[in-house]
Amino acid sequence: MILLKYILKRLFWGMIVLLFVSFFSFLIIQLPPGDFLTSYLERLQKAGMSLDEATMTALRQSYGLDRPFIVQYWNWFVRFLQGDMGVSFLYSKRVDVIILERLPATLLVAATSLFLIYLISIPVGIYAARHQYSAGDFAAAFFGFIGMAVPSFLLALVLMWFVYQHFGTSIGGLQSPAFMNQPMSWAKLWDLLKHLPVPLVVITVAGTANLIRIMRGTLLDELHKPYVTTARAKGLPERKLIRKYPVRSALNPIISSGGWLLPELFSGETVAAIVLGLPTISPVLYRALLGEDMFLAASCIMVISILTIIGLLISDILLAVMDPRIRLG
Amino acid sequence: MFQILTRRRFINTTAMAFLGNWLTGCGKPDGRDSGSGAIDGQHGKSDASPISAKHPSRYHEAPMLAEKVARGELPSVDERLPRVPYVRQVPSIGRYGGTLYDQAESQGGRFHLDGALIAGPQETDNDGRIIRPHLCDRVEFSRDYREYVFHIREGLKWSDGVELTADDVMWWWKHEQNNKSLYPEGPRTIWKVGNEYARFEKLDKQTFQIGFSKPFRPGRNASAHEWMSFGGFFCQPSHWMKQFHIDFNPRADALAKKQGYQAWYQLYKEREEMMRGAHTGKPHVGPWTRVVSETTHDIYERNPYYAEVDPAGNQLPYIDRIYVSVIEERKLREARIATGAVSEGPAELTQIFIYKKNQKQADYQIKKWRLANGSECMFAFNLNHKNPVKKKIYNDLRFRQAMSVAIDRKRINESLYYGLAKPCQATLNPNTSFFDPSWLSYCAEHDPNRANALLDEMGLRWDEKHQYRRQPDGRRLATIIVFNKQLFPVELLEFVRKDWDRVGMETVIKETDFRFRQETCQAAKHDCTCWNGDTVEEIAVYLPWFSKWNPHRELYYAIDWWYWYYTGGKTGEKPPAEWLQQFNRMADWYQAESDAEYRRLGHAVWDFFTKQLVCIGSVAYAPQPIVVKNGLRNVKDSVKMGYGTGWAKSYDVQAYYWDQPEKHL
Repeated sequence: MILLKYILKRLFWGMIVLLFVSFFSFLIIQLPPGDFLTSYLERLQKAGMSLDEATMTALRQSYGLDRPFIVQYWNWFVRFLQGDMGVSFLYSKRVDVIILERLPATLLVAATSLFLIYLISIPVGIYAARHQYSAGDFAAAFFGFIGMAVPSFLLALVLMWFVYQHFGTSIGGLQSPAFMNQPMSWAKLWDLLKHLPVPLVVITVAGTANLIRIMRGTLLDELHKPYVTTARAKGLPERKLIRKYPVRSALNPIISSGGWLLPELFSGETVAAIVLGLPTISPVLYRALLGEDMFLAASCIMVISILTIIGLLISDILLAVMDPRIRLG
Repeated sequence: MFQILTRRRFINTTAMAFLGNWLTGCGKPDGRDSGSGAIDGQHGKSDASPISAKHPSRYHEAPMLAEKVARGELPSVDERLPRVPYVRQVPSIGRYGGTLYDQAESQGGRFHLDGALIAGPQETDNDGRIIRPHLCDRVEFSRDYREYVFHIREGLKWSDGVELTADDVMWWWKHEQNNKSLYPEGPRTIWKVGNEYARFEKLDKQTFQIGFSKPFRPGRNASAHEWMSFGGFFCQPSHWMKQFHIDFNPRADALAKKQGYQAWYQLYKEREEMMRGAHTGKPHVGPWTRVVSETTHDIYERNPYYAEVDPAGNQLPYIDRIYVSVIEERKLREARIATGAVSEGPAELTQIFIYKKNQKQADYQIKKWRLANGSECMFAFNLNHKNPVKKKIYNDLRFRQAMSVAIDRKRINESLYYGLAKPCQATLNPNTSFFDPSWLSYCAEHDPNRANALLDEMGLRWDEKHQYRRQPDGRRLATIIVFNKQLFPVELLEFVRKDWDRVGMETVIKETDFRFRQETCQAAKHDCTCWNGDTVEEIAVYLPWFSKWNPHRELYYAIDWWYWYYTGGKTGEKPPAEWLQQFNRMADWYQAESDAEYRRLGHAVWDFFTKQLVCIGSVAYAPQPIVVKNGLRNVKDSVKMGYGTGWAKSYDVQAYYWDQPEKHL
């Protein structure tokens, strides 16, 4: 009963937040001078072409870009509530079609890399905390900091070239052109697996460093508490002791930050995705913002906001479940 | 301390290494490309269809189409081609099959070879000099250029087999161009001559006539230029477009809403343009049509009804399909060209050593083409500047002359183009019939003394420290060049900046977002801006108000004068007498009737433009290395690349073929 009330209260406030987010993001997207047609014209001009006045006016009216901001916002918002995310002028497709088309690749890359990040960081963090100041601890710290410091796009470029030079894998994207239009086969799967390591390494390297440090830090705090000494004195085997008590407490911050996983899955690493030419959602959002493609940009931001709210709600509940010291409300 | 490896140092030290490499490394043209003319024996084997056994066909087709004919899905090749197809002269008879790989920035977007998708009533050659009929077999015009009669090839069909007739053209004019929802301000401005729109008239099934109220000689050019084909009357198949038009399909609004749009005309506009929408299934008349469009790639497959054959009677194109990967990041596209992921692509001149190094592993050769730009980067001062002091200075011809001779073009050429471009003034292509050779060298010599003399004559004295000159109001003579990253190296701007600095003008280069540049320039708030000078071929500059030298185009040098002229005096600022005379002269030129008058007025118009130095050029006709995969044949050895001839439209891509098509599927 308390849980239900809590969830309803959170959802209510979530909707208020979404209202504000939708308005301000729409506003900010519109702030730069010009509109979508300005960027469209620029792309034409780069190819040497241009548009005459008649066509420009026709397009502007056709897209409703000559109406005042508030009218455009309201039109879009009302339709969004009904599930109609509008159409992208940049891609000439419906926004939901664009998102759904890119969802599989996005989930594949994001989910795999997040799984790997947790799989690597937590054990390494535990080890580093238990054997503080040992060689292993320093090694973990060293690689961790390098991972944080090296810009992800630089790492992506270097790895991409390395893989091309030594394995002949085509650069860019998740699949070689030769396989893209063919049905699934072992050869196609192998080609996909050849392309996956580079994005996975790039994203994982950046993420593990952070998590290792957090895990190590929080576990160290726990390990120095009296109950650990008591348990040891009482004769609990070391492994079982560590796993059952301090680690569970140390996981608190990691679980509470797990709320951000949901939006991360949707639109995480942008720079590496752009550089590597991955068909994921974050480059789409980036280009939509650059090109002032209002519906696509605003809809993506709304989806990310919704996922954030839901994700945080889930992680808060999960935290309450895992840690009896925490009470909701 | 490390010495910082500046780009200039790097280029200078590798320039020599490159030059030697370039000379020895470029392969000789393949012997096979020099035209054999014999029919390739392979074709005879593949035409094993029942139809050819009964009625031996005059023409030959690709195996993938012959299969469909055998299954009864397609009519025979003789029936698919027009009664008299266009015969394309090819360097060597090719082989059917294979795929070309290319890449685009967006789904359904433009790619290097996309010009090849276009076909129109007439076409031009790569020089932009010859205009000849293509999908029309005859185009006649009256002596006073008021009437044009187009004879569409008999039997010409859209890619779905429906015949292309004059009805399509009439439908396009009546229901698209003149539809108030689609074009609220009326048809495209090119159709407006002397304040009246053109008249379209159907003469018979294959013939239509376009009439103008005043002589309109540019009509010849317009029918051959690629721009006309994009959205022109050979692009809109009426039988297919009707489903999106509210007058012909009452459910057009519902159809549009299903696609995410709000009204039928939004969806119609998407389907109207070929190189923007991600749609498939629209019938077209080019060699390939789009059959697949996904987030990651587009596929263009051969058009079974394409109206061209080679001299041996083989229906073109040879290559079955074009596979275009969608790669949004520009640097990634460049890298993919260097690693041989595309069949043909442009290489960055300043990074040529990377392309040379990777030649063997990626299995390509490098051809030397040229850019057809009249200037790689030309500068224009704002003659309608809001500040009266600056306005007076910029409007003084001596100032522009000084700035032009201050530029050391030779140094730019040597440093950035390995000395392979042409240092000259920004002007038309020397091929032009009324060209004056003196235009190329007008104020193009490097003469800082003359520049200083001119500026001294204008009364712009140096300041006390002899660092910069001073304007009459006491402020420093300064200029900000706004630009957005274009197709020319930013280093070029740095060179010009230093040159102008040396003659006493403080120059700042300001890279801005295109939006801000456009907004600033359209409000005439800028000092100086720059752009490349493409579209200088005779065929293209004659399209009304089309070339970059027009004051309202990308160089925005006199936008207020243009507004005054365009709106008949309602807004803007009245141009000085000599400019008003120039605008009128241009209007007269577009209405020239005789050849002599055309050349006389053309010469006068461009003499004025060039000598007024509204566009100050740097270097032109830069080399453009092109990466071509080994095994791809009939690729021209020397090409002028530019928008004026429709980019790939004049490369004859439909004549390309693979040596071993089975290896490039």
